[in-house]
Amino acid sequence: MDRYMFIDILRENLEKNKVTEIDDIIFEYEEHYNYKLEDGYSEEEISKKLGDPLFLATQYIENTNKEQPNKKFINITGIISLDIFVLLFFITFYAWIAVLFVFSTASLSIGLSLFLNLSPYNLIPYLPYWNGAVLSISFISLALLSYIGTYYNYLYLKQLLKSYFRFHNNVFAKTKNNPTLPSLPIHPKLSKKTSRKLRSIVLFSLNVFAISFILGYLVITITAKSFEFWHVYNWFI
Amino acid sequence: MKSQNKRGLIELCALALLNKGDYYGYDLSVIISKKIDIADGTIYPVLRKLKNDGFVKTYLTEGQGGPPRKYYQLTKSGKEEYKLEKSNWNMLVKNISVLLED
Repeated sequence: MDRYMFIDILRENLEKNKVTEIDDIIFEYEEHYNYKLEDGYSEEEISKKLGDPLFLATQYIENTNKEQPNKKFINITGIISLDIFVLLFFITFYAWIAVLFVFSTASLSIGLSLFLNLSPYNLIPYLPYWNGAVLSISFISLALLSYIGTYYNYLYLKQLLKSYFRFHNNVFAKTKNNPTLPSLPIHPKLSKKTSRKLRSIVLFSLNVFAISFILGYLVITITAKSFEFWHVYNWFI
Repeated sequence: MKSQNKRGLIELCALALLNKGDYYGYDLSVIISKKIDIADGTIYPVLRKLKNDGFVKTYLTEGQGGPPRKYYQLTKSGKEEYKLEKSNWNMLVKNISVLLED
């Protein structure tokens, strides 16, 4: 008897005997063939040693229909209601990433406008150019910082989604008595090189931001001869 | 020995092996069929019964490139069951060997 005949007879009789999770059962026998074939046995020999598929199919009869349908129902309703809450959480998380991205882009455009001495649509209030140029450095480094923040949050969301998806599938697999896959970590795993690079950019831009922000305020204060320079340049009139 | 009696033995052997560590089904079938004269296929229905009784559970590992492997692992109640079956077995062997003495 060759492999396909054996599996065919087994499957047919399992179906006849109303055994559940037949694919899972067949999987074990397929694996058995794979390993034995690797060891150099022929399909005929393997089938002979496995025994009579008709007999094997009867061995599964007593094992079926012992699950508690109640527990299954609770598990499935539980995971579906959890899905709804988690979906809301993920939507919020997405929105947060969008906000971060817009914030970064806004900082970048303010920085560039100050640096290039532009005022698109007259949105940037008046400042002497050199004062604005110092501040522009701090805006650009802030943009860099929050772009990295956006990227990291995005990676985090991606990993969380993956991890939740695995958990969701495992719950279903468990109710169906199917084998589960190992759960996934919730933190994104960056390569050592990437995370080192990101960390040094973050530290650098944080320092530049702090220094140029303070320096900018000092320069403006000295130029305007007032701590409240915005009154000197009539920003709010 | 009749094949129906061997089923209980296979169960005991599988529990004993899984008490030492996790195995995949094929490994169990190879080890046990070396010790007991059975058809290779008989181990799989026994494993399924142990799983449905809640004595073992299965999990997959993501193989390197290959398909995932299905491992069997003893549960807490499986460990209890093993202890119980082991002492039953020892008692049985003692009693029967007394009977078999000429």
